[in-house]
Amino acid sequence: MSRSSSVPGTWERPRILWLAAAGIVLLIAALALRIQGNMEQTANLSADDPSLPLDQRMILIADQLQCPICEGQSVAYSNSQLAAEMRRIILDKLEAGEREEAIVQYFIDRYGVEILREPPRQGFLRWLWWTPPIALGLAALWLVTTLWRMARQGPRPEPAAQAALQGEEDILDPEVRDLLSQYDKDLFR
Amino acid sequence: MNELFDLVDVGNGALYLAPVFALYAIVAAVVGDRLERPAWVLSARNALYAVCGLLIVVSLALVYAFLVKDYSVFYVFQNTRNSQSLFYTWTAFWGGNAGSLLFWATSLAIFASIAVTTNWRSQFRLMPYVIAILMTIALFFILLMVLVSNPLRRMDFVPPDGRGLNPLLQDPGMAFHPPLLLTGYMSMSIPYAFAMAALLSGRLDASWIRATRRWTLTAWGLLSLGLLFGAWWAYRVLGWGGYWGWDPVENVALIPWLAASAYIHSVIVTEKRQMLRVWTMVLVILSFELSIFGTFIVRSGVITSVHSFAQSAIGPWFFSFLGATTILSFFVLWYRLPRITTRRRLESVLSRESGFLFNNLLLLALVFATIVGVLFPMLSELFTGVQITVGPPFYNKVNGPMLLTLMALMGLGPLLPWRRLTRQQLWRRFRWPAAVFLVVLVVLGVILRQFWPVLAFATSAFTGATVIQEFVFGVVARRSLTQESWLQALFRLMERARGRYGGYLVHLGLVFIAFGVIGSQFYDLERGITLAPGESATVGRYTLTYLSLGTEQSSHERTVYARLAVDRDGRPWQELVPRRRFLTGFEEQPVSLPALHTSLVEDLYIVLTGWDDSGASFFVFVKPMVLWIWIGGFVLVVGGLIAWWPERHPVAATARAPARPAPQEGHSHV
Repeated sequence: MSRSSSVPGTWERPRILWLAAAGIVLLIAALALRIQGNMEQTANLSADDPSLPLDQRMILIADQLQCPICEGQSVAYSNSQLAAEMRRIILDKLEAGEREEAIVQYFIDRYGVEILREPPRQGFLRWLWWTPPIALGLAALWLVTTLWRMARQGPRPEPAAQAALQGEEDILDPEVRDLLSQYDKDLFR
Repeated sequence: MNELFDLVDVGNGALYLAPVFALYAIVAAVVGDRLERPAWVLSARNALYAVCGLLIVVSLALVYAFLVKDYSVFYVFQNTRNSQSLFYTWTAFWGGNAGSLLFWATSLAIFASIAVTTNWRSQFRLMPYVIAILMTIALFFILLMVLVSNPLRRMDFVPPDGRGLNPLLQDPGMAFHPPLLLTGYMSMSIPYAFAMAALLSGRLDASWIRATRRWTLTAWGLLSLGLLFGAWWAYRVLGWGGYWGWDPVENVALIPWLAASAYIHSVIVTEKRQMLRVWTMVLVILSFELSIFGTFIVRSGVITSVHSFAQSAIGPWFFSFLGATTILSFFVLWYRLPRITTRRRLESVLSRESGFLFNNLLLLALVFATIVGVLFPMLSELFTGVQITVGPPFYNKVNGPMLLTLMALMGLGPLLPWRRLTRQQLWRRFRWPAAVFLVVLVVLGVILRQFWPVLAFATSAFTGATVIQEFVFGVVARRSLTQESWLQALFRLMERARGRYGGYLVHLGLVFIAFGVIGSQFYDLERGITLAPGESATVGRYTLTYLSLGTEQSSHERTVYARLAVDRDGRPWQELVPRRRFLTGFEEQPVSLPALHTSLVEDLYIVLTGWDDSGASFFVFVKPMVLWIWIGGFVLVVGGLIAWWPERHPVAATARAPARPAPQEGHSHV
């Protein structure tokens, strides 16, 4: 392959890619415009906000609670009798003017911390929250330092390979390049 | 029960005979290899076929017992009843514990037979150990059935009717979800067996990798399909408007999928650059053990969740098997370590090799975090006596950012060339996707004004752009050499490098799934409303008016439905009918059939939750972009299939005619 204009479209490439880019941006923007109406209703909602409908405030609280008899589902959406009863209690308490914190505490007192879908970050439970990021951090640190060391010790690529890497075709991956040279052979045999 | 007498008893006989053959296969294979007697190895292979045949007989006996509803068989009594339809009598096969074990063992024996037959000549040196390891795994499952949980166990009497399958399981999704996951778990045994055979036999070249490439993709693909069907089933049936709840049993299906994904990527480096050989071995062992762990969690009842329908006392057995195989595998790896460490060194931190390593890091961090989440309730109870629940908020906060990073890496990886990145390459490869990222970031930032969803959308768009760029580069390169049309060039490109472009399609599918997840997680509306007949309520763009309640009755179920007239944007739109189904015998466990209107923008999802004389109550969800998840799932599966599809090596294709004449003229010069 030479560097003439018939080389794998050095000029043809950008045009179609920029068209595709415009398409991607337009598609996502169109979707975003359609769903942004929902945002005002979901962003930073508080169950204590009296301007919200009661049922919505109830769901905001119930969704923090784990249905005690049907594990894996929250009180908000469980089919069970118990969950329905708990939803009723939350509604009554909201109607009576109780605040979110007090209602959640009421259920913790009755069922234990187990009722919370998001475990509190205190005592032994801190380990739950901190183990994964600490492990990831340590592993990443180890990987980066190892790679750095290896790269410094590793062999410099020989000049020929370096030149090939910087050639015009380096846009293509070796696999595609191999495939094209294979194709050359097939065509010009 | 004279006419039933035969087949179930034959099945039981076959079940008790199978471990004898499995044991024989193990001994004959190993002894045959040690003493260099090929005839023994051949005999071991035939014993493996015999185990396969025997397990098929056991399975057929169970199917037969189900079809004739022979309630003297305990498992049949548990999982079907007279009023249960034929279709769900079939699917009851894997509805419980014993049947799942049988399904696992039978499909393992079938896959083992295929793998051994197709690799018999080319990998003959590995075969004795492949047979021995696969038969050890099969032996474990067969012994579990024989000793603990026999699917064909007879009772002393014949009850007039059975108990029936859990109504949640009586759904089309359940016909596919469990068998796909179980075969997915099971298929990881094949690459594991080949890897261990390479270690044990000392033939440590890359041939075991080539032999198992498609088996790994099979396992990964089946797990993917199982997860997708599970999500679809949850969305349609569980009635909470969600497709993924970070439920323990969903998690243990995701964990081996993540590990297998890591393995699929690291194995590419091993194959192409002869690097990371130890690491690849670690990953294949890990993927297998996590598959067993998944089966163990689902089937042992250690952790309760919506899914653990089948529970029994097999926990300690699984635990021992898991422990023993892990220790032995790593011992063998350690023993062979001097022979597989590579001399090949990394040349640059900015190279595709290191890109794969960071991908592995993230995938394994996700595996680790998810395992911590699944096991922590047990640890907490053990150490502090405090029972806790680890629900979706934990995973959203811990796994969410990691998934986002992984999405970014998925875009960066393919842009990095092997060995090292040069400055020109950086500019050529990065400018276009980077531009897409920035433009989406700015445009969405203006429209949505929220940090995380905008960043997540832009990152996914970036990754999507890199995939498109890879395809465009390849197609343009081909076109400039040949006279092919765009479509032809695209087709040929994918045909010639299936693993690569199939993999890119998988990435594209994941981008679509990410779109759907971001849209539906951040921009959903959920309301619980109670309406009297004629009354209306507004949710988002929709106004719902409750019209009436009705009931349908059939031989095995009663359905209550509510009719709702829905206006969209103030104009009459359509009528939606959410239902609730009461299966005969399970009147206490009704199942929701939500009314669902789906589009590329958003789903309107209505669940009927209760009713009385004065009115009815509903959950109403507006879930944006959920359809993208299913589209992405489809693209992912197609990509996986393309990568999996048998490839004629370019050299082989020119050297000799393909077995099946290809329809296109690309091969016609041969």
